[in-house]
Amino acid sequence: MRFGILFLVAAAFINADIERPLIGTIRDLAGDLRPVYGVAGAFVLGDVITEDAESAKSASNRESARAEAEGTLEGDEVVIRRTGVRLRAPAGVSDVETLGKGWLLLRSPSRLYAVRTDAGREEIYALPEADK
Amino acid sequence: MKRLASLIFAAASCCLAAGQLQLFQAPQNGTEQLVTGSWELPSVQTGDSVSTRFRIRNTGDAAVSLTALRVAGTGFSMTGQPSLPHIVAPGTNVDFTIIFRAPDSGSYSANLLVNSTGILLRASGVPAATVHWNGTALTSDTSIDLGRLERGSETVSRFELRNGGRETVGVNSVSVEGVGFSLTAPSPAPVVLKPGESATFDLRLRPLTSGILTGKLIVDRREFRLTATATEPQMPRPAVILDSGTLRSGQQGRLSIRLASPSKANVKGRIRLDLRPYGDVKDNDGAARFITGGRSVDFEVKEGDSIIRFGADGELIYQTGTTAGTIVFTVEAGGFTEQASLTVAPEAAMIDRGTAARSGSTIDVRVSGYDNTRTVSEVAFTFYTKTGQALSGMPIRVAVARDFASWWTSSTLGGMYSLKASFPVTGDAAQVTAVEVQLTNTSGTTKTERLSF
Repeated sequence: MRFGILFLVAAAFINADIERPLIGTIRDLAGDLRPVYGVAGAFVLGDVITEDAESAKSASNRESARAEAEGTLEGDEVVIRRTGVRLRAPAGVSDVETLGKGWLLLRSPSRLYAVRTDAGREEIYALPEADK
Repeated sequence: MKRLASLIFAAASCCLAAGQLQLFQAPQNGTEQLVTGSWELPSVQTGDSVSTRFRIRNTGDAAVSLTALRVAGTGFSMTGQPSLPHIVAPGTNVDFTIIFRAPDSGSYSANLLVNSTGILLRASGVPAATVHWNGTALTSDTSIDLGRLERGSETVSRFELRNGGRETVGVNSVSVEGVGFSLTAPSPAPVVLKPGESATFDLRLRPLTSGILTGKLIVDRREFRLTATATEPQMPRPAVILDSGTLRSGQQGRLSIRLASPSKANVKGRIRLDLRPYGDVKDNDGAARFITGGRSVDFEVKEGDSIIRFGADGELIYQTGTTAGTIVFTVEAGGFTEQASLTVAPEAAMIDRGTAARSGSTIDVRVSGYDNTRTVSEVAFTFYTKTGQALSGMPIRVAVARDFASWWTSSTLGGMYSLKASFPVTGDAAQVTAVEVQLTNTSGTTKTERLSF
C-alpha cells in the first residue's frame, strides 16, 4: 500500500543548520575543558569551556559510565569493546576515557590520542595541542 | 756591559717653576711621591717595557704656562702629555707617562725636561730571553692574535725563547692561562740559554665555545695577551623527509628532518607548514597544522645530531587538514632554507558520519564530513520504507551552494561541516525507516550508507 508522505522540503531546509562538527569534550594536558571539533584525521581543539561545578560533575559521571562501555587498556593494547578490535597503544598511554559517540580518548603525560571505535574504521590518531 | 748616558741636567730644586710647579710620581693605586733631582724606574727584562706615570701640579696661586715637556735618552719615550704651551691653573695637575723599553741588558738614563728644569731618569735592562712568534719579538703590550677558527677545531702556534744577548739567561717558567689555551707538551722551562741559543714550545688553542677568546702566555713575570675568534661551525644542510608525497585530506602524516652529516654546531631552527589551496579558496583551515606547535615548530640541533628530535620522537606528526592544495614544509636552520611539499588532491565531498533519528513526526538527519574543494552544490535525500523501497518522489534534491558558501566564509575549520536537516512528515512517519544522503561537488558525488532510524 502506498501511502502519501508529504515532505515539506522548503520548510525542511529552513530548519537546516551548518555548524562545526563536534566530536566531544576533553580535559587537555593543562586540565582545561575544551571541545574537540573535526573529523577523523583532522582535529581542532576549541577554546576553553568555562565550567561550573555541577556541569563538571555531570560530565565526569557521563564519561565514567560510558568509558566502561566503549574500551579498555590492556597492557599496551586498547581493546574496543563493541568490536573486540585490539590496537597497539602509543608509548606512555596510561588511561582511556570516552571522548564522544564512536570515540575514545587515550591519555599519556605528553600527548592525547583519539581512537575511532566504529566497526571497520578503528584507528588511533594524535590530537593536536591547543593553540597557546 | 753597563751603558751610561752622559747627560747634563739642570740642578734640581724642590720646585720646577718659580715656587709653583712640582713633579710627582703618581702610581695608579698608590701614594704620590715627590720627585727631586732624579728618579729610578723599575728594572725590566730585555725587550720588555715598563710605564711610569708622572704628575705636574701647580701648588701656587697663579697660573703657570707649561712650555717644555720632553724626555731624551735611549729606550725612553713619553705618552699622554698635553700639547704645548699648556696653562696649568692653580691647584690643577698635568699627567704624562714615561715608557722605558730595554733594548739590551744594562743601565740607561734620560733627561726629563719640564720647562727649564731637568730631572735624571734611570732604568735598567735585565738580561732575559726574548719571546718570538711569527718571526716577531714580543713585548708585554703586544696582543698575540691567533686568528679565526671553528669551535671544536684546533690550531697550534710555535713560540721561541731566544737569547740574543751576550750573557747566559734562564727562563724559570712558561705557562698559559685561558679557557681553550694550553701547551702541547710539558713546559720547556726551566731552561738555560747561552748567548745565541733558543728553545721552542707549541701553544694549542681548541675553542670550547664560540666568540672572542682571551688568554695569557706567561714567561717568568712577563705576560703576553692571547686573543682569537671562535666561530660556530656550519650546520650540515637539512632535508625534510616526508613519509608520503601524496596524502588525502583528513589524514595525519609524519616527517623527519635529517642532516647531511652529524652536526658540529648547536643551532636553533624552525619548520613551518604553509597551505596553498587550489583556486581562490581561502586558507582558513585550522586543522592543517602540526600536532604540536600549530603551523610552526621550533627545534634545536645539538652537536652530533644527524636527525632532529622533536620531544621523544624523531618524527613530527602533522595533519593535512581539509583543503585541497599543496602543503609546503619549510625548514630554516643554520643559514639554510629547505623545502618539501605534498599534494592534497581535490575529492568528492567526504562524509565522515551520518545519523538519522525520528522525533515525533520529524525526521532529523545529520551529516558531517568535509568538502576540500568548497564547491558542494547539492544535497540529495532518499527516504526508504521499512520494506526497503524508496518513497515516491525521491530523491529530494536541495541546492546548498549558497548556504555552504556562507558557511565557508565564517568557518575556521577549512572544509569541515556538520549539516543538520529536519524533515516534518505528514502521514505515518513510522513507515519511513531509513535515509541515504548524497552530496555533490565539482569532483563528484558521495553517498552515505543507508541510515536507519
